[in-house]
Amino acid sequence: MPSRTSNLCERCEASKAVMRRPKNLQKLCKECFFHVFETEVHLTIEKEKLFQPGETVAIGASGGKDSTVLASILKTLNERYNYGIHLVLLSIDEGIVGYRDDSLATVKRNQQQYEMPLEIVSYKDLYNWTMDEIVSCSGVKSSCTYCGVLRRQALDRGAMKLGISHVVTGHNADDMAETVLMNLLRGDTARLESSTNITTKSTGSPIKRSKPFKYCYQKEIVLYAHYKKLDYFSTECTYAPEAFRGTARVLMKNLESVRPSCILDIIYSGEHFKLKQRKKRPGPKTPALQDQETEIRSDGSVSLQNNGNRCERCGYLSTNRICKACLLLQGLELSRAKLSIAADAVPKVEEDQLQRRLQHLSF
Amino acid sequence: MHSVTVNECTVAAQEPPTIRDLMYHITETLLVDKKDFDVFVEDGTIRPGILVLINDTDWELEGEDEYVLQDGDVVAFTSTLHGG
Amino acid sequence: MQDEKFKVKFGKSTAERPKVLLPLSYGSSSLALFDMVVSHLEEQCQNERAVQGYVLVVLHVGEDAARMERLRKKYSQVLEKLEAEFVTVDPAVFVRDLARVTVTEEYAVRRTENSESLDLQELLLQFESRSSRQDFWQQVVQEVALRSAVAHDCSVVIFGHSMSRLAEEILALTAKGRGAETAHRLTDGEIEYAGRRLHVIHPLRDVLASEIKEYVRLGGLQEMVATEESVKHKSAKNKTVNELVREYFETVESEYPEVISTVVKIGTKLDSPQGMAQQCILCQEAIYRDPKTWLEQMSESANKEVQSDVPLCYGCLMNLGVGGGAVWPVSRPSREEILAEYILEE
Repeated sequence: MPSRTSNLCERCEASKAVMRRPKNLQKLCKECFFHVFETEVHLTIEKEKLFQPGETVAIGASGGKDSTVLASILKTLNERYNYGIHLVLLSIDEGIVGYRDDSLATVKRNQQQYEMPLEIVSYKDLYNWTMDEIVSCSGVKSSCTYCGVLRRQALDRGAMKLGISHVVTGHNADDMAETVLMNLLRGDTARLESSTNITTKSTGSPIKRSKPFKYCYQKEIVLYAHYKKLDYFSTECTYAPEAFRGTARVLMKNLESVRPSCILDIIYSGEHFKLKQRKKRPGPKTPALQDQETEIRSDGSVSLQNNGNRCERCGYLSTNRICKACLLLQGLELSRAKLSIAADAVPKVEEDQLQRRLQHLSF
Repeated sequence: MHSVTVNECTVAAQEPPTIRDLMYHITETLLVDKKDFDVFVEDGTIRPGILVLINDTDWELEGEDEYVLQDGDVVAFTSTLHGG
Repeated sequence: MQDEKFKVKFGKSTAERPKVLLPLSYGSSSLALFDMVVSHLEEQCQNERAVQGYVLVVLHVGEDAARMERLRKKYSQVLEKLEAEFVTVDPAVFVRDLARVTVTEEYAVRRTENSESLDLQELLLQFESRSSRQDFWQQVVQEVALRSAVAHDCSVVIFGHSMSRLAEEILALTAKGRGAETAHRLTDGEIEYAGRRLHVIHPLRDVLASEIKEYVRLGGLQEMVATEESVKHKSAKNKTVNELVREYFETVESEYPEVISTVVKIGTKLDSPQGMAQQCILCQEAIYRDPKTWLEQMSESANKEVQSDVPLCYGCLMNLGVGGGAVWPVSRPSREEILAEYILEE
C-alpha cells in the first residue's frame, strides 16, 4: 500500500505536497506551487521582454481557465514586479448560444474581481454572422477553421478599437506542442518554423500577440485555477474540435503518460525546426518585373506586395486584396443565399450533391 | 465531463475500495451515455488528460488507481483537455 | 545522377565499385530490402561479360549469428554468383570508455570517472522507462552500424525504413526533443562519420509498412522475420514513444490515408539548424542550443552560476532526468581505433 506520509513538499520540506510537476516530477505544496508557477511566468516575461512600461495590454479573455489564470497572474505580477502596464480584458462574442452566454457572464465577473476594463466585440457586429449561423451553413466540421480566422481578426480589431497594440492570450505549452504536431501532420510548411514563437504578428497588422504561458503546462494551469479557487467557466465549446485535431490531442496525452516532459520536448524540437532554403531558379529577373508580380495562393487569395494594404471589402488591414475573413464569409454568403431559397428544406447531403452537380455544369 | 458535481456515494465495502473501484462504480451508476465510458476510462485506468484530485491532492502522489478510499474522502475528476 | 554509381559495370571497368552496407534487423522492411537488393544484383550478373555494380555488405547488430547463416542458406543459390559479405556484430563493441554522467537539480551536467564495468545489458537497464531504454538502444544500433560501415570500407549505407517507419521516427524524434536530428538522420544524403563521408539512403521511403508486409508474405520471407515484441497488451504507460506514435499512425491511417506521406514529405524539407555548438557526450548528436540555458529561462529553481562539466543534448538530459544519471560510453572511436578493433576481431 502506498504510504501517505512521505509526501512532503520537496521545496520547503515543511508542508504536505499536493501536486507533482509534469516537467521535472518535483512534488510541491500549494504555497510553493503558487510561488514557483508565478515566478516562472515572470521569468518568461522578463527573458522575452514581453512588456514595456506604460504599455496597455489587452488580455484575450474567454472566461475559460487559461485566460482567467492569465488575467489573475498578470495582475499579480504587474503589482509584484512593477511592470507598469495597464491591463484590459478583451472578449469575443462568437455567438454560440449556451456556450458563450455563460462564459461571457464569467468574464463580466472577472472584470469586477480583477478591476479591469472589459471590451466585448461580437462576430455579429463585425461580420454580420454568428458562429451558430456559420455552423448551420457550413456544418460542424469546419467550424474551428472559421472560428480561428474570425477570432484572430476580431481580437485585432477589438484591440485597434481600444487603441491597444498588444494582445496576450492564454495559449499554453500543451496548445503549442499540439500546434507543432498538427503542423507536421498537415505538412504545413508555412507555419512550421514560426509556430513556437512567443510573439507573433500578422503581416500588415500593427497588433502583436504574445503567449506568456508558452512554457506552462495545462495541468499546472488547471491546478492553479483550482487551488486559487478562480472563477472560470469550464464547458467545452459546443462545437467539438475537428476530429483530426482530436486524434493528435489524444496522441499527445498518451505520450505525456510515458514521458511527462514530452510537451516541453516537442516545443524544444519545434524551436529547432528549420526549412531548407528553397532553391532559387537560375536566370536573372528584372526588378521591375518583380514589382508587378502578384502571387496567387493555393486558397485563391491574391497576395499584394506592399504592407498597409486594405481589404477591398471590409477595409481592414490585409496583405491580400480580400482578407481571409472576408474570403471565408464570401463563401458562406453563397450558401446562405442558397439556404434561403431552399428554405432549410434541403438536407446537408443533398445540398452537397447539388453543389457538386452544379460544379459540373458548363455552358 | 468537466464540471464536477458533488455526488456522495457509498461504494460497497467488502474489500477496501480503491480509486479503481470508484472509477467502475462511476461508469456503472453515473454515466448516462455509454459513449462517455471511453472519454473517462482507457486501458482500465482513468484516461490520460483527466486530472484526479483526492482531497485536493494530485492522485499521482497518492498511488493513483491503488489508493484506498477512506470515509469522507473527496475525489475530483477534472478534464485538463480544452475548455479555452 | 547518384544512382549511376550502382549500375552494372562492363568489361574490365576500372570504375570503382562502391561497397554498400545494409543493416539488417530481421524486421520485415530490412528483409524486404535485402531481398530486393539481392535480386537486383542477380540481374546485374546475368550478362556474362558484366560485373555487379556494387558490393553488398549485410550487417546485423546482435548476438544471434546463426540467423545470418539461415538467411545465407536460403539464398545460397543466388549468393554463389554474387560478391557479398555477411557480418554479425556483437553490440558489445559499443561498450568502451565508460564514465558516469549525472544531471543536477540545476540542470548542470557532471561527469565523474567510473569504476564499474557494466556490460551492454546492464547499461541499458539503468534506464527505468522502456522508452528511454529504446531511445538509447537505437543509438547503439545506429552507432555500431556506422562504425561497421567504416570498418568494412563502405561508402554507402542503405536503411530499410519504410515510409511508415520514417513518419514514425519524425514524430517520435520530435516528441523526444530531438527534432533537430530529423534532417540528418532521416533524409537521404551524405553524413560525416569518423572522418569519412557516408552516403545514407532509405530506398523504401515511398513504400508503406503494410505493402512491405505483403511483399514479405508473397515472397515467402515470413519465416525469416524476427517476431516483434507485441505491445498490444501493454498499458499505455509501458509503451515507448515510438510504439505510441506507430499505433497512432495505424489508427488514423484508414481515415486519413495521406497523413503518413505528408509527414515524411515535410520531414524531407527540414534542414539541420545552423551553428553547431557542441556534441552531446552520450549520443554524439549536435547541440545547437544549450539545454540548460533553455530550461533556466522557465525554471524557478535554476541557478545560472552552476556550470556543466560536459555537454549533454536535450534529449539525453530528459532521458536521464533531473537528478538522474547513468554510466555510458562517452567518446566515439576514431577511424584508426575502429579499424584496429575490427582487425582484432577477425
